[in-house]
Amino acid sequence: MKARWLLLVPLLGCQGPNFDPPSRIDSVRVLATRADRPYAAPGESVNIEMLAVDGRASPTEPMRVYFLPSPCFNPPGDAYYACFSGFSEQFRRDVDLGPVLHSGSEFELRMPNDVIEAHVSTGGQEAYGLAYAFSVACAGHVEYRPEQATAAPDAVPFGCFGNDGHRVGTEGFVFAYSTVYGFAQRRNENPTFDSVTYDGRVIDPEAGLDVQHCSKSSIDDCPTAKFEVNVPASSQEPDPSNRSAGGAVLKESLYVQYFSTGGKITNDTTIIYDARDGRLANTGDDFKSPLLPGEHQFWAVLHDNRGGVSWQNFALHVH
Amino acid sequence: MLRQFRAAKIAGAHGRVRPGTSTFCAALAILLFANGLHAQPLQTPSEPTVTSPRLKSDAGVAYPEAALRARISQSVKVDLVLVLDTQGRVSDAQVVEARGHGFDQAALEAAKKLVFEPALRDGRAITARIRFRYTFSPPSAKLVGQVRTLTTDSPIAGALVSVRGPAFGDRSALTAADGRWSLPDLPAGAIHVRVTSSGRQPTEVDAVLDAGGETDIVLRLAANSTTAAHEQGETVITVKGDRLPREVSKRTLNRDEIRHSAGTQGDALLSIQNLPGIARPPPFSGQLVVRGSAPDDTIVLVDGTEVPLAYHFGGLSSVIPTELLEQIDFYPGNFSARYGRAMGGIVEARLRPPRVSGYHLVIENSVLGARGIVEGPLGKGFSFFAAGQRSWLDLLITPILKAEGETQTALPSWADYQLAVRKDFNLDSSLSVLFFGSDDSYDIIDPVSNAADPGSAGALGYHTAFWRAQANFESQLTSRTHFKLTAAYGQDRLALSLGNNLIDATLHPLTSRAELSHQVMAGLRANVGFDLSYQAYDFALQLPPATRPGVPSGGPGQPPIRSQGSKSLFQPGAYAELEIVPWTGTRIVPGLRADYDNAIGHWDVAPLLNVRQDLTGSYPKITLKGGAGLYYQPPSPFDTAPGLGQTGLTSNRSTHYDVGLEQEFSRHLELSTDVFYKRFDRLVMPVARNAGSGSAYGVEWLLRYKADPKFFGWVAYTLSRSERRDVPSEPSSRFQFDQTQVLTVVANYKLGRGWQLGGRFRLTSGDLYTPTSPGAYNASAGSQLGVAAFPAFGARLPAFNQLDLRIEKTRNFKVLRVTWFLDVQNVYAKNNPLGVSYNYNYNYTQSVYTRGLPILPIFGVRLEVP
Repeated sequence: MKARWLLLVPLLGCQGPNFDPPSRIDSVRVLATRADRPYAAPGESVNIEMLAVDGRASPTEPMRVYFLPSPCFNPPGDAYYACFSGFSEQFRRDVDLGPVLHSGSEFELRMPNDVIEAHVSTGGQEAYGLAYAFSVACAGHVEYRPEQATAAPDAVPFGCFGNDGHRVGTEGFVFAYSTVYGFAQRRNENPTFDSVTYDGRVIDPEAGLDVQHCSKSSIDDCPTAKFEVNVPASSQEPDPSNRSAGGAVLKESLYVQYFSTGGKITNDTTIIYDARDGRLANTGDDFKSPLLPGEHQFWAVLHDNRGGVSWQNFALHVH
Repeated sequence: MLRQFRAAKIAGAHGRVRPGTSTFCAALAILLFANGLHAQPLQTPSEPTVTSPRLKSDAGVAYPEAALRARISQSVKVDLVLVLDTQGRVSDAQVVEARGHGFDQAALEAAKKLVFEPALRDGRAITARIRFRYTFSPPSAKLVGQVRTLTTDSPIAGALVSVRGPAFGDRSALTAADGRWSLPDLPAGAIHVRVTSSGRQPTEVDAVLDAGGETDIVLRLAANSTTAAHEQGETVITVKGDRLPREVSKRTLNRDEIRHSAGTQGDALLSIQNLPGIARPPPFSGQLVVRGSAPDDTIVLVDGTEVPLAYHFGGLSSVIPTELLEQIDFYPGNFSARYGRAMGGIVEARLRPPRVSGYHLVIENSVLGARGIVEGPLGKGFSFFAAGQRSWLDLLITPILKAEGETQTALPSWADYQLAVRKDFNLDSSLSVLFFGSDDSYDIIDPVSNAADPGSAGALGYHTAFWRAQANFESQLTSRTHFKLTAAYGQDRLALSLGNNLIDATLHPLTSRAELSHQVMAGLRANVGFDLSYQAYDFALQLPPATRPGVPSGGPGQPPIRSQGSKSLFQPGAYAELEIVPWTGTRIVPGLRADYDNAIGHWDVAPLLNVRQDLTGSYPKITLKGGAGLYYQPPSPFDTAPGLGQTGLTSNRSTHYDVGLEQEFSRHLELSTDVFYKRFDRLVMPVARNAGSGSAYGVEWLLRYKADPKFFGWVAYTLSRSERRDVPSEPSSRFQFDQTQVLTVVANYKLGRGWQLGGRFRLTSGDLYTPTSPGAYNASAGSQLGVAAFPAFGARLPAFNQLDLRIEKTRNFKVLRVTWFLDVQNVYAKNNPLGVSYNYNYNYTQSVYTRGLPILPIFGVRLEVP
């Protein structure tokens, strides 16, 4: 006997939310920091450069960028937020810290001679030291505002405030940290670009990229073209800390992040080189031109997974 | 099928005692005893005239208490020699031949109160000596009782009670609506009672009536076939507060209430969630949150064997079909010492025996899935059932999605299966072999690789499965001793994967449980048993690595690290328990349990005590109950796994306290109230060993209208709070699964002509969650960090409310019974928030509520070949 049945298909109301993509630049942003020596020897100096952009359409106050004057070395558990407890001795509360912060997008730190010896090893690993440099991008002035004692240990203890005293939100404030490792022998070079292409054409960073605006009513209906980042194989260095089950030394992984003040990028982050498989195929990312003509900026930030960074930036001329 | 017989004899001849019949022999011998008078020979017409004494008053005599206590119930004659004075009063009395047991003393005391007309000689009163006999007839007995169903304990009206005794032949009575009957004025002595009722197996029992006493017999009748109990609506969910073995504080849901309650698709294990003490489960899960405990603190057993889960993925269906259940025992706390290694609650599902009255078939199909059951006799005392269930969603909808070009297919699938063979040696012994299992899968196949992180692209997989092969032997060894043995072997599998990351664990549990229960004396029963678990397990993990030197945390492309291992757990346990009934209406159950775990190398010894006191002896019944006990739960295998867990752990511990009141207002309306408090300590915490602690406390109410021919329903309300503290230095905060208020209203009405309408309304506090705010930006890796609020779970979602309705129509055909049903969950499509989703890949400044299922109609058809 066969039972008759009627299928009523329930629609699972689990649609994903439409959040703003991180590739869209429409606020104060720190996109990356680059150390000229992601791995430094004890006693060496390291120059750190910050890529901070102001994507606000109508800024009321200019964006200012700072570095905290004192790097933090070898915090407990290698946790960046373990450095926060030391800020109470360096900064006074509720005052403009502008005069005491290091203004600008470049910062130099010197690795202590004993940075490796002073690091508490967790065992079974190559000896190393660790340095954190903290930076701020703020559309206002920076104040030291530690949370109450019950706050989460990783709560950011700084705030950005406007001239009228109001607290600036994430549209105008970013607190960032950069990591520099201390190794006696090991080194890590920043990855490099061969080129960035758009629809197969190499982009001249000086001249920028010319594209036509999209005439559709919705950007999702716009045609796409691919951005592609070409990275030389030499940029994928061996990673001694990454070994296969058989003990063979594997390599770094390299990935690129895209940012733009206009248009829409399909994938914000794309892996270019895999630690085991090397250069991956189909690493291009679709881009949809903006709906309106205008001038925009575009960034491609290239990372290796060991802290190496480089970037390319060019103008996007939308006709 | 075992029968139950309970007789409570109300002893005592003081209640209603008929005066003992007394006779005397007038002038059996007249002894003339006169002061100073001498017997004179009879004379001629001038001889004196003698008149014998005449009994004027006799207060009677009662059958002596001592004789009743000695259970003497025959007629006894006591001869006395009485000396009467000239007033006719008894001045002296002597027993001719002693009878003992208080008869002599009773006769002497009664004789002193006798008053006679004095003996006369020539018209003048004289003293006299006479023989006098008392005949003691035993007082009649009264036989009362009640007839109830075997499994649901419901009264049976119209049952015929026939009583036969050598002294009176046959007497009979019919039970009233409440199942009660009485037969007064029966002679004391042995009797034979037989009870018959339409559609039920007759029951016979022998008893002895005590003279002057009242004997109360409760007889329970089984349905006609050994397995037809469920046809009569007798699948039982028994909710036991501080449950005492074999004597329960019952909140009973019968099969009608289970099958026709809206929102649970007739699933008995799901129906438990409508009772107080259980929080609304986490979204799309079948986890049981009992009295503020974590889901893992509650264990689920099937016929004494622990299984890893009670519900399939999503909590839409349980792993055992309702049709196969005989009873579900749910203990929210203060459970018996026979259960161990758990701090939360106990759910034990007992499967019914296969039906032997022919072959039977059930097929049910709905939008969720299909299931079938076939059962019947195999001959020579053997019987079997085979059952299975499979969901439809993945089979039906996936092709539709693919045809429409969807690249993601994400639908769960589940299945379960049961096969049992049973051998009944006799009414007292049986052996059953059971094979059952469950399989859940949920796979998201995304052929478009996630270039952002290939390690997490490609597939999301979730797979849990278990099976058990189990044997049960049960025997009533003597009238006082019962024995039960269960042994099982099986496999549990858990596999979670996300791209290259995975967790894969397989356990092979070998378990055994045995209990010996012995009635030591009236009012004292002892239960002893053991409960053994041996689990070999192996696991493989492939997870993102911990920080490596020179590699900043965060950012994509970190290859996972694989670790694997294997181990075995040996967890024996033993317990002992006493059931003490010092007097009627009071029950005291002390217990002691000991458990060992080889992973921690430690014995845990746990005492407990449960007490019940009936405040009224009969309807309307009011019962006060209370309990306190210690409960241990060993660390999980992952807590002690080499390379993964910690060393130096001890068991988690909880102390339970419960005070409650059960009150009947009418035959159908009852209220149950429980106040509970649980204290947790030695909780295993990551990194911190046994540093955790906490508490859970609250009040539960259940106002229930028990089923009548038209309607049943209940209101369940729980007010509670559950807190935890991870380490002593941190403040206490709400526990992740805390739900302050849980209100459930269930109602069902039979409209007639096979139509039924039911509804369930739930109003509960929202779930707790941990708000996240923007944190620091890792500029070296290019990733944004969020800051989880501290302490965790400090915010609560809006309250949850949902209405479910069910309508069904049943029609009986010649050889078939067909039921169409429409079960609509979330009738008014409330968009209940079940969680919060942040833009984690950016800056955690945006968030939306994740919602549950919208309105969900489930239409189905059920066919039964009875």
